[in-house]
Amino acid sequence: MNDKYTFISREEKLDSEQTRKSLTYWQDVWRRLRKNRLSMGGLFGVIFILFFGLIGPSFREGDYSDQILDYSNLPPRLDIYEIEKDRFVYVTREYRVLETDEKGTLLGRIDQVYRDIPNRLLYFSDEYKVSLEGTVSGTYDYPGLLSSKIYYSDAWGIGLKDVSYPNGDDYVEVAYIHPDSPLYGLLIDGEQFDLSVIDSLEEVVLSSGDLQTGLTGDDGAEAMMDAFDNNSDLVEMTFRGEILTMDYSYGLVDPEDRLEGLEDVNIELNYKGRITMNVTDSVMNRLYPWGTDNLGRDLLARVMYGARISLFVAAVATLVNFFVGVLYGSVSGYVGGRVDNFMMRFVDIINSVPLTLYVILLMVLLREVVIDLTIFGHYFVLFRGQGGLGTIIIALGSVYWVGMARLVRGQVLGLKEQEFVLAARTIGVSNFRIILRHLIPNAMGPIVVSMTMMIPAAVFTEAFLSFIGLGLSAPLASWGTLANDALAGLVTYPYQLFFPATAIAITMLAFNFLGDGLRDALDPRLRKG
Amino acid sequence: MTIDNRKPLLEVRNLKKYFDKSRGLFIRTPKVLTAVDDISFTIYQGETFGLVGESGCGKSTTGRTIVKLYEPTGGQILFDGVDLASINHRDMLAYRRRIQMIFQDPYASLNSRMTVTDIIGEGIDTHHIFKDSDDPRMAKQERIYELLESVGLKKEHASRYPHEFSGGQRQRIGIARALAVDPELIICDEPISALDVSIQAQVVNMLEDFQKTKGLTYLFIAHDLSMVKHISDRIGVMYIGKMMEIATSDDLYDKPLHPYTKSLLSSIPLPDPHSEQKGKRIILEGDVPSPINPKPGCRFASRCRYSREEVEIITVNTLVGRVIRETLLDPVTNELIIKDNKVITPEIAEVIVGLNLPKISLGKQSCFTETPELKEILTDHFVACHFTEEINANLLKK
Ligand SMILES: Nc1ncnc2c1ncn2[C@@H]1O[C@H](COP(=O)(O)OP(=O)(O)OP(=O)(O)O)[C@@H](O)[C@H]1O
Ligand code: SF4
Ligand SMILES: [Mg+2]
Repeated sequence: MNDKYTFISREEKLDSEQTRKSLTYWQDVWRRLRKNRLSMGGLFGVIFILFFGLIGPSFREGDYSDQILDYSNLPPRLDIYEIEKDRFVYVTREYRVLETDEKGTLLGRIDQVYRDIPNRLLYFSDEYKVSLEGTVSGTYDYPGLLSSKIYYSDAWGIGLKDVSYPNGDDYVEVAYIHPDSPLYGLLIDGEQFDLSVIDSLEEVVLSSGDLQTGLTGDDGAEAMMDAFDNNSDLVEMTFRGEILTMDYSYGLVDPEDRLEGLEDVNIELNYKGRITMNVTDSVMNRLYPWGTDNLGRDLLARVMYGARISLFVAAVATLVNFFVGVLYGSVSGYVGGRVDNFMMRFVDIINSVPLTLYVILLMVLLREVVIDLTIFGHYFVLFRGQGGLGTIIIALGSVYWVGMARLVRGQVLGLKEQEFVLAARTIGVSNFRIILRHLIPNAMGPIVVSMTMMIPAAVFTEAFLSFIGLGLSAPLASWGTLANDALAGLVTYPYQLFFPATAIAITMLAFNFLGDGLRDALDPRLRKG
Repeated sequence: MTIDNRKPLLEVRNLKKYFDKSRGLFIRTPKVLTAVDDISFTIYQGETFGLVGESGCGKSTTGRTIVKLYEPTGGQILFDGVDLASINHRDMLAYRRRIQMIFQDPYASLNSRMTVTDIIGEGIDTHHIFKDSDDPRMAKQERIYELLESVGLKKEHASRYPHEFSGGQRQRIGIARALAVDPELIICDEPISALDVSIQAQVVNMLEDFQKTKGLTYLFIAHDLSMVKHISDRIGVMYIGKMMEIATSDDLYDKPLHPYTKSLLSSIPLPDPHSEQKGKRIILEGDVPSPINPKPGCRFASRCRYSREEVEIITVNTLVGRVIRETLLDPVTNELIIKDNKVITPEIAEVIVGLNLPKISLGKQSCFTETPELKEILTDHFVACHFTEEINANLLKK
């Protein structure tokens, strides 16, 4: 014999049979899944949504249900105006004026702004800029008067009330200052004091009597006279949307009416005139990156909470699929015979009722039901039939396991005749353990695939039911509810629909891509196309 | 072992296993598949009983019914004197430890989601074999290593998964699983037919070694007589749910008494060229009858060459109701008149009489109407045929 060759030992021979690295089934699946780019994207999408919903809300300051009406319907991008140096405002579509900083952080609402909405005029912003600088404030003296308290002021009007004379007579007069007209005047005790208007931006002075300090009073008076000259005796002017009529003496025709409900406020006059402004800058909304809804609720926080609800629904769908669907199916398949027949007919019956009908019936049935609980004086609502998650969960829970039950039954029917199951039975392994240790693990591939297809279906069903108004209701925020809320203002505030809709779409795609990839990875033979 | 001192371990008496193949929920056409129909045999302690027969004849069903994987339709399974057929699920557990099974398909018989340790250890866990030892987990692990080594595998294989092994190695794992609970009887359901020929011998030798060292009893199922002859002490031959012949393997080979066994043996290519010339090959003709709703009579009748008789007096009366054993064609039109093994109806009988044939082959009446009983013809040699003596006149005379 050729002595170059020697027999290998038995051990070596056995070792050489082992060439491939030892991989468990799931390691192998993971290896194949990793190669599939699309489904890895899906996996990351799913993980992202998990983080988004679970820990996202803790990064938001307010709660998802906090309403700040001043901040309603804010978009993610703000067009701001610089009304003064380093002073920025954002004007909402409802002509609310919100002060912001340069970067777009909201600082609060500026109340003292008059909005002439029909004419799209905003006094103090947008097209006109009127700045108050505190020239006149508080009570001021007038010769012959003990005190004349200015009872009301805003950017357009000054009212005087409770003017007391030394001799004890009371007399009430009202005058209006209107930067638009611009008719400035003050009428006290039948005597007129003009507030001269300096057209471009300088200052305002009382131009009559001893208080006259400015030099331009005549110009102001002339402007007023001109205004009246062009008309007849009576001049109409708009104030707070109402038309006031003034006579030649600049007094109100019916001054009593205008006094009701007015409060004492110190006068502050700081007119500079008016200018037209353009948008200074377009900045990110720092406080609400995704804007707010029509009640001033943080849309980002709401979408995050929506993700929570969707995840919750997904979790319920998973649990129900697993604990009801998989168990039901495996018991039905494993026991077989008449039991199987009966169990599957029951499944058919459940399956034949449309889900929507089911939810509507359940809602009618459970409308009045509120299950509450008081432990040590604390009150909990465990279940609320209407507008809560309960009904949807019951509906999904009672229906969504059916497909899984069928699938698992089919799998088990095939598996239970396999010799490894027979071997386990020969050994005497209990039926329960056979189902748990032998049948379900071997059916896990199709179960996982079906689960990843089932979860988005459940999430979508919840969104759909909430969207058509059968599911959750405010203040709970599900993506479906959010989309429904956004529908009313779709043209004006499209971002309110964009974000929840995108969230739904991403979730659907992520789960479906993952499911596709898993199916390919679990059983390469099932690969499509 | 002499015939007298041997002790029966398993006695199967009139075992029946029928499968209901009826379809439909409300309107059921009764269809019964008689996979195992009234068979009896005895397996003695320490021997190997071979069970052979064509595919689908009910060998596996017999084995599975014995371990109560299937609930028997009728009959008794006396194991060590206790009727397993009538005891409940709970009591059966104790016997599951004593009867084990080795399966045919090494790929399907191991759960691919379990490690070798879990697969072999399942029986140990189920029967709490080491519950009295100080450290049950260690004891179990030790036992698994020991079993692996005894079937020619290594300790390191314990944590691996089945797909990492070859078919032969898997079958060894299956054997280790069966041995883990220290059984007395092992039902080997074609344990080697899925293996390479080179490995078959290894596995068979290993099984024989275990039989010697552990005093095991085997029910060895195979579809090929040549395979069982080597390891079996006695052999039972099955055909469509019925036991046809039981004999010691030597007797069965040297003097097969049943026509079916004869044809089986003649189909084995013999290693000795001289004896091949001697043995006349009998080719089996005819369709294998269906085991669903079988007709009374011998199951083998449709293919048995001894179940025909030539009849010369051809009248309608002699023909009606009999089974014909040849296919008749119309000599003019070449159209089919009647196929082999069909019952002759009055109309067909008229046609046949019209043909004016000199003689015609008909099935023997008793073969087609009475089911033959399994009778002990010689010592320890059982045959189920109405005409054993006639057919084997020469053999039996000796
Ligand atoms: N669980 C079952 N349900 C219905 N019919 C069955 C079942 N198991 C076996 N059968 C039928 O019973 C008959 C006998 O089957 P069995 O598996 O016992 O044959 P076998 O002799 O082992 O064949 P093989 O050599 O192919 O293994 C077959 O016709 C088969 O179709
Ligand atoms: S009983 Fe008849 S058909 Fe059956 S084996 Fe014997 S001779 Fe053949
Ligand atoms: Mg078989």
